Amino acid sequence: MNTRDFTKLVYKNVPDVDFLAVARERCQGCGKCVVVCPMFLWKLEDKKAELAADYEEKCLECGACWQVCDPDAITFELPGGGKGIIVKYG
Amino acid sequence: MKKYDLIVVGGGPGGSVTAKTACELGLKTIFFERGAVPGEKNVSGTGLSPKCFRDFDFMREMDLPHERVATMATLHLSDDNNVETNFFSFSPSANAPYPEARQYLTRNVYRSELDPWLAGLATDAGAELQTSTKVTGVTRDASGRIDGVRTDRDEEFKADIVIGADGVISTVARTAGIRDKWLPSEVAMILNVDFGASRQDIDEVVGGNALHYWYSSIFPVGYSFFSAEGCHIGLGCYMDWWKKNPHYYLDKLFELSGVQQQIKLCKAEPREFQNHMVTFLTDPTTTYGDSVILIGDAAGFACPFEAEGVYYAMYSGMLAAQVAKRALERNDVSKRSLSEYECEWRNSPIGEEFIGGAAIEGFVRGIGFNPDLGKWVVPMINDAMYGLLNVAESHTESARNLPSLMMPYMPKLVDEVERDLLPLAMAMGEPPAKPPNPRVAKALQAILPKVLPFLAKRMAKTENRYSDTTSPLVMEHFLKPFLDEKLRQTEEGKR
Repeated sequence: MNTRDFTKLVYKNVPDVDFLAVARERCQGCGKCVVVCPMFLWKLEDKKAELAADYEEKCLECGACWQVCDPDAITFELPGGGKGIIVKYG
Repeated sequence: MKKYDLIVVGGGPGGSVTAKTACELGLKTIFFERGAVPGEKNVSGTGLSPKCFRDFDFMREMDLPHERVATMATLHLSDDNNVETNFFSFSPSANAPYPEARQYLTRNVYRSELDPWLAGLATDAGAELQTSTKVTGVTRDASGRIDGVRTDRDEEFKADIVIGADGVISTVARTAGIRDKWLPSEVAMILNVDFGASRQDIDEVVGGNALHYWYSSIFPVGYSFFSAEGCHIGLGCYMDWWKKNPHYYLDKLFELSGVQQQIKLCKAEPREFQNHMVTFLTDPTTTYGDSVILIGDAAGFACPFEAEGVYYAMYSGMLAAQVAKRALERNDVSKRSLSEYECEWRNSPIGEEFIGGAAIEGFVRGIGFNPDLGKWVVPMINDAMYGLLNVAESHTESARNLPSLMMPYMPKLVDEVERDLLPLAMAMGEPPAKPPNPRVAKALQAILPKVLPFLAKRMAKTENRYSDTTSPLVMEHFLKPFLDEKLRQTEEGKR
């Protein structure tokens, strides 16, 4: 079973502004964001967290990566009104 | 710039009930929703508890197209090899304290239907709703006092009191300086896969048995909850718990043959992947500030046992509107004045839920979300059932073997009873919660391991079973005359 296939089933009004970012200088490379993200949007490059370029199209806006980031290197602001994730069967 | 009595940030069940109650109390109220329609940003476990219908008259009018009434819940246990070994079910008790609780366990609905309906009740009551609007933070007057909110449309709205009904991530709580983001230990992440299926198929496969829990030593407790034409299958755990990506655990849940069976028999098709965070606190302590009241997940009001949130959001919303009304009447919206809110919620079903908060967390972390425990709890429960009901030996023999069957689990069970169950039982008592009595725990620890060997010895197989297990009285007055008579008849027959 690979539940990763289900991650394609996401509906969005893709935001046109950045709402998630990482401050590389603050990142301690713990990799917690990589572990928790169910959309696989984070990876470690040179022991620093790096966000997928197309995150706006995939991010579920759950805030999990922001929540587990101890040094507060990840900044997260919910996308603007009417933008972002649309949950049809929540 | 528009002026209101009350601004509510968030159009979920909590925000809508706040706005509705406030309008009914005569407050000029506006509420903001980030989505184009309420419910568009929300994910939930779908189940509305009977409490929602006990405490809110308007909820009894609820008539949503895809509701399924759950009249049974089933807990499935699976072993280390991810194979289901047992399941248990329960239904509402005929002796439950109020009618709704006697009729059903939950009413399963979609937030995309519930939230717009509730928001409609609020607007019907006179509240102004502005959708597709994100509140970016609170605003302050020249003296630094919070006097309203700013939106991403660069508009400002003014009110004496702002209600933060904006969920786990609460912009209101953070910009008002009431708190920073939650600690990872205070929040849980819950992943769902939504499936669609025909009403008839679900009726035939599960019917009212619409709440399935999957307990395992491999993944944190999973669930499959059914609505009229769909099903949520997922799992969740505290944010500080995840050692591997959630999909690792989700894969294991979906590999269970019971879950596969439900999907297959219902001919269910995956429709949507969802993930959200919920608060999972032992004791909410940051629920208000100067000119601000927080409700629902923004305040941390999800049940510490199952993370049920909608009821607590609605109830805290109602209380917040009432407190706001009184604070405005006495013309004092300071933190001190709004502290009335904490008195109100602590003396309500919300406060009741948190009396045993720390002990509940111990139980949930110790048992529900502790895969190591599943390694012995699942076989223990299985062996107890097996010991009682198997037909591999005579039932007398099985009953004799039961204590020795349970013996290997005793050290761990006693340990667990002492660590998590006893504090839980103690904490549920009369408030203030008392700490567990160490003497009781110690006594239990001393007695239990002795009781079982004693029982085992007492029930051990003896050579002369007939005389050992039959009391002399029964022997003398019943069995002996009966046997004598039988003997006489046999002898007479022979002649």
